Amino acid sequence: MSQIAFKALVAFLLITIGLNKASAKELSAEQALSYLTLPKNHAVSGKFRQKKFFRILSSPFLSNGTYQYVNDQFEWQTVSPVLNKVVFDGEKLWQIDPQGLKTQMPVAGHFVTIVQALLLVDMNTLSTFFRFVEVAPSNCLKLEPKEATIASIADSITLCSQEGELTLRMMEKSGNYTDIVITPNLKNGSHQVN
Amino acid sequence: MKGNVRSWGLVLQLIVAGIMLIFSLRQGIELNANILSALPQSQSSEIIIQAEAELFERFSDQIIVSFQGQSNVDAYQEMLTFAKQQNWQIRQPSQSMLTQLVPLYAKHKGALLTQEFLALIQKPNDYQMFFNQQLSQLVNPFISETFGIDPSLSLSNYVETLITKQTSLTVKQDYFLAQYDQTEFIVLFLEVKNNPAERNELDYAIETQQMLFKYLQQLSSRYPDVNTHISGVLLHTAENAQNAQWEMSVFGSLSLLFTLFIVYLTFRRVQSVIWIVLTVGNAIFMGIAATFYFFESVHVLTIVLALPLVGIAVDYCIHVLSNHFSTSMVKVTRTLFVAFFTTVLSYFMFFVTPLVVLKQVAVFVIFGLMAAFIASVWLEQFLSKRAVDKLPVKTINMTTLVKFLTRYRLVSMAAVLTIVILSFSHSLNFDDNVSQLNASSKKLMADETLHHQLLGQNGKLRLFVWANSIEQLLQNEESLAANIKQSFASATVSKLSDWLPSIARQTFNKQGFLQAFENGNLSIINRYVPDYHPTAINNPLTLEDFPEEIKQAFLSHRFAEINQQYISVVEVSGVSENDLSLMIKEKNNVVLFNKQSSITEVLSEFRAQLSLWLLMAVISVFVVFTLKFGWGMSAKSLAILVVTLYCALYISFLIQGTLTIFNLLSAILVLGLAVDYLIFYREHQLASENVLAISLSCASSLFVFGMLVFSQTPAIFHFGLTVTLGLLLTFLMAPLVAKESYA
Repeated sequence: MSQIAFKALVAFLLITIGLNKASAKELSAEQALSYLTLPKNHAVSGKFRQKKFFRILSSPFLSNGTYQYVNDQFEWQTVSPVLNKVVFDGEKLWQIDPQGLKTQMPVAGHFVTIVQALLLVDMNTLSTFFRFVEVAPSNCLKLEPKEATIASIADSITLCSQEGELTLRMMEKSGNYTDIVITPNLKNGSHQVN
Repeated sequence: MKGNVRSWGLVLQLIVAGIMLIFSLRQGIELNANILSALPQSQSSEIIIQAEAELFERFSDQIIVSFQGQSNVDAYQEMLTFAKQQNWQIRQPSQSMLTQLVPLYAKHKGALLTQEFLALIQKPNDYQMFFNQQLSQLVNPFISETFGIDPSLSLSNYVETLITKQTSLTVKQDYFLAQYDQTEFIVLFLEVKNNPAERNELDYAIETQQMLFKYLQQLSSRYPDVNTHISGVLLHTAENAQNAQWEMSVFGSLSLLFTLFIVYLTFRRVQSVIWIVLTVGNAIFMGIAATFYFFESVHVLTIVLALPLVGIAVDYCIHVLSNHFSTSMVKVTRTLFVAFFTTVLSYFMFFVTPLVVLKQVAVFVIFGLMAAFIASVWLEQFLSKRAVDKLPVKTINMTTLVKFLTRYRLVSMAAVLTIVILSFSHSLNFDDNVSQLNASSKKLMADETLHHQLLGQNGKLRLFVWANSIEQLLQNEESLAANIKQSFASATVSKLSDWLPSIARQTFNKQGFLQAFENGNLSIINRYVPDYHPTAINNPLTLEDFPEEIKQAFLSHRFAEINQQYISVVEVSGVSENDLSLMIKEKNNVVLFNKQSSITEVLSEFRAQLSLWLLMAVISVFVVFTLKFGWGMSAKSLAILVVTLYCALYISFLIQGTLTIFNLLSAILVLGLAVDYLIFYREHQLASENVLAISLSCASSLFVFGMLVFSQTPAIFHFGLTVTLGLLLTFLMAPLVAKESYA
């Protein structure tokens, strides 16, 4: 009897683990979009607020600015604490200072593509770098890096959608993390996310 | 008695050759294949040769494959699996680069600063802007990895600059990605080392190339939308070796077959073929023995340049045989001696050139010809003792040929003079480019160009810098880079001291950093990290601090220790070769290295020396002819030689579009043969056996060297073309020195 009870317990545990596994299921790019209840056509411009939580910092480092995707160019402009614009033309990364001076920046790996995909919620591009896993709360999705090179920028990213805003938490191995709130500007058009 | 002298002469020659060869073998025979070592020797040339071998050897096994098209990732993955099955080494993106370097450099933070960072911390506003910009970035793995260790961001800036400067490639997932002309390529780096290096290098190259091509073909049938491109030194080696092997076996067999056939057809004796082979064999044996005896290391170019020896040695034997089998019983020893003496005198001129290779050629040819001469005069004596088994030479209608040559001498003179007059409308120019040596396919060349574009290699110049100590070397590099930056604002310099700054530079950096902190220029750090204070003086980073693994991965291809000298390679972009050459002209221990231009320089130097030699050889022939035959004959001979060589070169120029050193090399052979023909026509006139011997000599040379005109390799084609034209012209022009009455 006790043997039967033990087998039943093992079977129950296995089923439970299996169900848990199934509940944390991996999603496709399209499924991820619908899970986050995001439109296929996402805004091509918007605002962001960023907080960097480094262990060494006594208070988080705050910054905010705007982004836009125009004429195949992605622009990321910090307004505070310093006015600074970074432009990615699909091949090269440029920094433009307040005086308009353009300097080519080193493209560290493919990270700029990831930044662009994150802000434009381009799930297709993101799916080449990350696995999408459902997490609680229900409006959130966990992005797990597929490769070690991507893990160097974030151990995991939690992407949540709420009332038209997107929040991102990028966790690093060291325990440092960055919170970003993205407010898309829907008036300025949108782009098709395939 | 005379016969004994000739026999003893031959025995003595063979003994001397044998002794020299034994001595050479005991000392060790060394064949040098490095084309750069053919340059006039200097300290910098020594450094270039050794540094090239030490620092660039690793690239000889590297194969680059790129994949472009929709399914390029899948094709890449399959190729990767195939490469792993072959046990080839694969270079893949490594994230460990950052994690390896940070702990090493972290111990020396504040002393390792980029020039840009050092400039920033001099101005508080600039540094504050930099600090804010860096921390405002959404992602930056360099900051993530280092900010906790060094909140000043100097370490992050230093490591990021180092790593991103390393390559023009980006990393996506687990592969390298390159962009060119709005198109993405996945780039795969393979090291197909012959390991264990037991197999012949050429066989291995051919085998590997065939395996790679076969696999890529299969891959393209599975992924028709993917374009693959492949390049590497090994592929050039394989293509050129395959081409050379085919040409050598086909041309070699055909020319040998034709020559022996024509000799047999003429003399109808198997022995005649054997005598020719033995005479040439003896000449080559003596030439090799003497060259290896007198020189510690013999260059492969010597063997190529000494090729005319074969043509001339064959001639000596043919003259002896044709006179022996004729009814005239004329002795040719005296004439052979004049021919031998004139040619030897010409080759003596090579001793005045600064090029060791040409001196080696002189030794090879002079000793080889001496052996051919000794063997021929012995053969004449030997054959004269044998039963006279005269062969009426009827296989070629000599009378018709002789009549033809004399009757149409005016026509041939007019034709040649017309060519000379026509040539005045062109200026003969030479192309010394190394590509003349290369028979690689257009596809391989195009793929190589594409890969240079993808890897940002186009326009990259390399300098060798050397010093007696590593510290001095690093300081020299830093000062050189500062000069380059000062002279050319857009230049980028990549060097060993980027990875390991000199101790002097580190001390300077550290002082600058501490001073900036003391001055309050870095105060923004304390706003976020209140208790931040830079560490005081720490031990400078030295070469010994680098773990072996890091040294191998990042530094080993940048410097080498050769004969107690430290030598490094500095890469410069954004500057023209001319400008950089001018800038470093006055600097000690710095030399610009470009293998292609260095080989071109070798070829230019050789061409200049050979042109001078040709002139001096023609003058020496003129002097000998004047002393021996008088003004009339020598003037006529000089005119024939000059016009023949000039016309052969001019027609070659018209066909090729430009001349190369290989046309000049063949002119040397033509000169050697033409001198012989002139002497024999002068001495034996249009005697049928003489015309037969010269005709045979010309035909054999045409078969041996003229066959090269069908070669795919530009250099060999050029050689064959001028030899063919030169021999035909010589054959037409040389009888002009004979007396007309003879016809």
